[in-house]
Amino acid sequence: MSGALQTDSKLVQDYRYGFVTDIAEDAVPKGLNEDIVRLISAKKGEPAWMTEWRLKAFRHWQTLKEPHWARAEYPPIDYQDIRYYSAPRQSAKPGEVDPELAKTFEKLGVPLHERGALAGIAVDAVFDSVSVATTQCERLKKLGIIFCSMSEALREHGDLVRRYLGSVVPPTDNFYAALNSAVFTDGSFCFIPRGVRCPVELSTYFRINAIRTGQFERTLIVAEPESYVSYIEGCTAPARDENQLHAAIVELVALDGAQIKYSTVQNWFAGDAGGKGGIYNFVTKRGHCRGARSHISWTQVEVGAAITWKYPSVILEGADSVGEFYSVAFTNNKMQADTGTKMIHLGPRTRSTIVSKGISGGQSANTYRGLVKVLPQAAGARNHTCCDSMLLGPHCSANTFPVIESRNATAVTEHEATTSRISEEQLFYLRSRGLDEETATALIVHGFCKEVLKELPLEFAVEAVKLLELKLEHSVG
Amino acid sequence: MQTLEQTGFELATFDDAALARLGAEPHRAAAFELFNALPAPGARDEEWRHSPAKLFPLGGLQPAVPQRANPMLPEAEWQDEFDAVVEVGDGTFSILNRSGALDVYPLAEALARLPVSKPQHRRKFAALGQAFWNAGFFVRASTGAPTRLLVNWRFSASGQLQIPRLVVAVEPGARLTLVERFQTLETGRGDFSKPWKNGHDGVWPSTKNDVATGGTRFVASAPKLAVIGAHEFHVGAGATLERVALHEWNRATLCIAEDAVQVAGRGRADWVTAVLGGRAVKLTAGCDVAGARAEAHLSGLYFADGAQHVDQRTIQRHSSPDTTSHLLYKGAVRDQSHTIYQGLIQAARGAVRVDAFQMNRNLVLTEGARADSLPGLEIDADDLKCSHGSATGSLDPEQLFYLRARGVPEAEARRLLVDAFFEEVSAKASPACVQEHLRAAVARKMEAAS
Repeated sequence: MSGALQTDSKLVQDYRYGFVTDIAEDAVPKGLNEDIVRLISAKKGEPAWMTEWRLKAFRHWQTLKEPHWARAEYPPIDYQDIRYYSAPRQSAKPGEVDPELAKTFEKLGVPLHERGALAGIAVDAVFDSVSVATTQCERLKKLGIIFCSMSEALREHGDLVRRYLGSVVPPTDNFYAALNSAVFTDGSFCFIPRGVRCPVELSTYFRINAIRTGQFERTLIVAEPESYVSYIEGCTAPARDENQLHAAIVELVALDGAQIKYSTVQNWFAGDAGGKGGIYNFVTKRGHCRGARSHISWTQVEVGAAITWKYPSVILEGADSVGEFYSVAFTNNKMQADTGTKMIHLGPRTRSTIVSKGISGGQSANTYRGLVKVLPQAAGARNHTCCDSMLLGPHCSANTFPVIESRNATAVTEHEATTSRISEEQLFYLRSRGLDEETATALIVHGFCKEVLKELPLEFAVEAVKLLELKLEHSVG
Repeated sequence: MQTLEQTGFELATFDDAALARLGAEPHRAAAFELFNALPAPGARDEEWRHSPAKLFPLGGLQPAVPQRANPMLPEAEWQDEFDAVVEVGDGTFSILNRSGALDVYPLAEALARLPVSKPQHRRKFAALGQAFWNAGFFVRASTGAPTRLLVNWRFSASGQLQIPRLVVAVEPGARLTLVERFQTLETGRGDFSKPWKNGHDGVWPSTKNDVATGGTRFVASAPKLAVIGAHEFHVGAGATLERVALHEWNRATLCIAEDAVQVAGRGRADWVTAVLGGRAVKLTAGCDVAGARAEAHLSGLYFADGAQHVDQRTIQRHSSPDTTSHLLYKGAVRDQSHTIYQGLIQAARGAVRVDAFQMNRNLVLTEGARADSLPGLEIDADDLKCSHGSATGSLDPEQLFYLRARGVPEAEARRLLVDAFFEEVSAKASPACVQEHLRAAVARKMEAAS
C-alpha cells in the first residue's frame, strides 16, 4: 500500500517537498470509534488515565457539530474515511533511525544526526503519527530540560504531562480540539526548569507521508519561572490530489517571568493551481501567561495548506504579562486562509501586540480574524493591533474581521488596518532600475513582511524569505 | 448556547391578519413574503451576537394603527430653520411645506401615483418595516434651491409598536438637508435627559454577568414603546443629501432601525447619526456608493449611560469603481452601559480605485461600562485603498493633568475633554441649531457623571 500513489509532477511544480517516501507502514483501519481510540492508546503504551482521558474527549466530540463560521468553502469531511494512525515500520535497530526516513528528512533539510548540533538546533522529527527521532536530548538533559516526543513523555514523565495537558486547551474547547484530544498520536513535549535559558532552538518537524491519513499531533511546552525557550515548528506533506486533514493542538504555559517564543513556518501542500488536493489545516494553538511578567510570542509564516483555520492566542493572566502575535499569511491559487489571534487580557498591566500581514494572489481568500478582550480586572491593559493586506491580482479577496471588547476604563486598545494593491509606484521605481517584475514584486513583498520576518530566529528567517520568493514566482502577471 | 438560540425575537404579531389591517399597497405583500422567507436573527449571527433578542422584548406590544392627517400642528422646535416640517405623533401627522423644490406625501398616496421599486435589502427588520409600516412618508427634492426638511417622529410610550418609514428621493442635481428627530412623548420618569441614578431606571438586564454589580440585574418594568424602522434614501447623479438622525428616545423605548442610502454618480450623502436615548437601540446604516465619483460620509456620535445598550452597524458598500466612503463613529460609555460598533467596508469585484476609510473611537469613562468595536474589511477588488482604525481608552491623564495644573477643576476638565472628543462629529451636523443641540446633549450626559 505504501507509495502506491506517486506524486503527480504535473500537479504542482514549485512544491519541492511534494515527494512520497516509500516505506512500509503500520496503520490502523479507517474510521473512528472507541476501539480505535483504545487501539491508538495501546499502540503507544500509554497509562490508563490517558486512555480514559482520550475516551472522554471522544465522547464529547460526538456531541459536537463541525463549525462552519470560517470564511472557507470545502466539501463535507467524512471523519470515518480517515485513518487515525499510521507509523513507518522501521527496519533499523532501536535507537537508530531507519535510513529511508533519515534520507527523507535530509531531503527536507532537517538534520537528524548529531551533526545538527552545529546548527544550534535540537530536532524532534514526526513522520505521520509517530516521532522518529529526537536529537540533542542528552545535552539538554544535563540542564534539566526535557525535550522528547509526546509518547515518550507520557511514558517517562506521566505526572508532569498530566499536570499540564489540556490545561490551556481543554478537550472540550472546540470540535477539532476534542477530536485531537481523542486521537492525537504524537508531537513534542518541552519542559524548561526554573531559571534555565535553553541554549539551542528546540524544533519539531512534522511530515505527513501516508495517504488518507490525518495528522493529529499535540505539542506542550512548559516554561518554569524565569526560564526561556525558543521553539520552531516546520511542516510539509506530499502533493496529492486528495485533501488530508491536519488538526493539531499546541499548548504553551509560561510561569512567573518565563518567556516562550514560538515560531512556525507552515508549508503544507496547498493543492494545485485548480484547487485540487492540499491539506486542511485546522489547528488550535494557545498560550497561557500564567505567571507575572511572563511573555509568550507567536510568530507564524503561513504559506501552505489548502485551507487554514488557525488562531494562535494568548491568555494574559499574570500581572504585567506580554503576548505577541506576528503573522505573514500568503495565499495563492485557490487557497483559503482564515487566521488571526485572540488576546485575552485578565491581569493588570498586561500588554499585547498584533502584527498581521496578509498577501493574496490568484483566486485565493485571505481573512484576518482577531479578538482583543479586556476584562474588568485588567487595569492598565494595553493592545496595539496592525493588520495590513496586500492584493496581487483582481480575483483574490482580503477580509479583516477584528473584534475589540473593552471592559476596563483604564485600558487602551488601538487597531489599524489597511488593504491595498501592491504599489504601482514602487514597482515602477524598481523596474526602471532594471529589476524584472518578479524580482521587484518579491522585494516589495519582503519589505511589506519585514516587521514579522525579523521576529523569526535567524536561519529560519532566511528559509522563510526563500519560501516566500518561491511562492511568489508564479503569482505575478 | 442552545438556550440563547431558543429565545428568538417575538415577531408572532406580524402575520397575515396584521398585514390585512394595513393598506393594500402591492409592495407590502412582496416585502411580507421576503420577511417570511428570511430567518429571524439569532445569537449565532455575528451581527446580533452582542444584542440578543432578550434585550428587545417585543411581545405584548401591539402594532399601532395607520396614521391619519391632523391639521393641528403642534409647535415644533427649530420650525423657522426649515422649509418644511413633518410632525408625526400617535396615529396622526401633519405636513407643513413652504418649499417649491420639495414634495412631501404620505407614503400611501405616493405609492398610488409613483412607481416604487421592490424591496432590495435582504434584511429581516428592513423587510418588516417595508411590509408593516404604519407611518410612512415620501419625500422628493427636485433641482432648485437647497431645501431643509425637519421630520419629528414623536410617539408616546403607551405599549405600542411603531413602524415609521421614510422614502427619500433626491433628484439629480438637487440638494436636501434633512433632520430626523426621534423622541418618546413622555417626560419625567425615564426621560433620557434626566441624570441617571442607580435604581431610577436602571431596570434593564445587562447582557452578561456584570462583575461590577455582582450579577445580572432584572427587568422591573416592561418597555412601553418599540420602534422598528426602515428608511430608504436615493441620491441622484450629482445630488447632495445631508441627513442628521437624532435618537432621543426615553428609557422605556426599544428601537431597531435598518436604514440605507444609495448614491449615484457624482452624488454625495452626508449622514450624522446621534444616539443619546433609548433603552436598547440597534441601528444599521448602510450606504452604497453606486456610481463613479459618488461619495458617502457617515458620522456617528453616541453616548450611553445608565443601563443603555447601543449597538450600531455600518456598511460601506462600493459597488462601483472610483468611489469614496469615509466614516467616523465616536462614542462614550459610562455607568453600566454597553455600546457596540460594527463596521464593514465591502468592495465588490471590479470596484477599483476605491477610497474607503473607517474610524471608530470609544471613551470608557467609568468602571463597569463596556465598549466593543468590530471594524471589518471585505475586499474583492485589487486596485484600491481601504483602511480602518479603532481606538478605545479613557481620557488622557496627561491632558487632564495639564488642565488641572491650570486651575480647571477635575469635573470641568473632564467635560472639556469629552466636548472636544465629540466636537469632530457634532461640527459635521447641519444646520447650526442641531450642532448646538448635540453639544448641549453631551454636556447633559456629562453633568450626570460628575
